[in-house]
Amino acid sequence: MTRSVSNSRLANSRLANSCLANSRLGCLAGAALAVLAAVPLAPAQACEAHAAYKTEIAEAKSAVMAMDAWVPLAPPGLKAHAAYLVLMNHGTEARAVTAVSSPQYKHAMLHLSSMKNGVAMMQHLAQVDIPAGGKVAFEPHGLHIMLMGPKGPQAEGGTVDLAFTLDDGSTLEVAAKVMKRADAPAPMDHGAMGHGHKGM
Amino acid sequence: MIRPLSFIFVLIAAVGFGMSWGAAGAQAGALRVVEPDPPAALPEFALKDHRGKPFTAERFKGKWTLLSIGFTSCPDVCPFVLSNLDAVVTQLSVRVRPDNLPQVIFVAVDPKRDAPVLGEYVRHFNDDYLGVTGSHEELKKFVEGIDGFYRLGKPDKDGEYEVQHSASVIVVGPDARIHAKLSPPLPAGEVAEYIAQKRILFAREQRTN
Ligand SMILES: [Cu+2]
Repeated sequence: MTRSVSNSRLANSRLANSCLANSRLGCLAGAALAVLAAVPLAPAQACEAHAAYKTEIAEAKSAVMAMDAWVPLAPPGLKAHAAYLVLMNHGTEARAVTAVSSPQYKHAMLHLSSMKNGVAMMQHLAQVDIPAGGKVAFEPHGLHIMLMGPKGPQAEGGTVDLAFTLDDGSTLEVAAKVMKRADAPAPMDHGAMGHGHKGM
Repeated sequence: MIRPLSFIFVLIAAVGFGMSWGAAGAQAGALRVVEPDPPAALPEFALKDHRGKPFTAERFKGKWTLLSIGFTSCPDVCPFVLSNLDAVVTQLSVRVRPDNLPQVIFVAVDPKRDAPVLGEYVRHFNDDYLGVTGSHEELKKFVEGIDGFYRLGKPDKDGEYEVQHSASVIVVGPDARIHAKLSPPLPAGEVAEYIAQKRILFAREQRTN
């Protein structure tokens, strides 16, 4: 069964909000990056917090950017891996991811782990919406890129190449870093993910 | 035959605190705990551990156990829960003696795909984790007896299939009885706190009895 999702839990966190408080310095870094990539991106929309992330920021023509892309190091011999990242839409139009692929895996799919009466299950999604000025986080126990049938062994520090197809026909290429869960990027919007973050 | 559940879980606590991150305003869920009152007996079962040794009720005696149900080809939820439980054990290790740390047991409900990789799988998360599996008949008996659930999905054209399973963690006491069911999200700090309290309460009860 497939359906589309607009992940309101995550999508309601508008980029502008989370960037307002950040210093000009960080925004300059973001602006420089935008110039390099020749993408019209308002400097105010890039911010220190984003520039400081470990993984590189990838951009598509449609003003959708990816960051914090990572693949948890999995026990050897497993046929299914997962990838996580944050997709941000810096544009003024809503966008959607309609497909994902990786040359290193037989199949890649947009998946959502959901819970019904305490039972965990996964759903294949036909598309994932990213509202204008919003973002969508693929995080453990939620949205994830399901990677099936690895063509080679996984190695810590390696990368997994992902290609996202967007609904405007553009492609967003992202290199996700293979890392231990303990080293994973902190979740952006909420804690309680086992990375040792404390509230307050 | 599956024995109907002879105990009721009572919602006892919604511990924890709301956490908010940045400007997003989204908040993390708090740990949800339900406890059977009184603590419930474990079902009968005949399972094997990841070393191929019989796994019996004896293995629960004298220590706290965190039971997680899942399957090894699960890329998202199961590793998330297992690494969270590792964080729980790490946090508890600064508070309790090593021999008082809870053991973590992964009940692998997809024996066909799980059994060959189970040892390596659980050790990936923690050297001390125990994986157990068995026939579907025995697994069903055990899982349903601890108020859990699982179901294998239909295979796709590649023969791959999904497994739906309870994402809750079952807490078994040193008396080999079920003391609680913890539902996700499972914030490590809150789970550790809960187990630490539970240990103290249980030890106190044992002394007064
Ligand atoms: Cu999945």
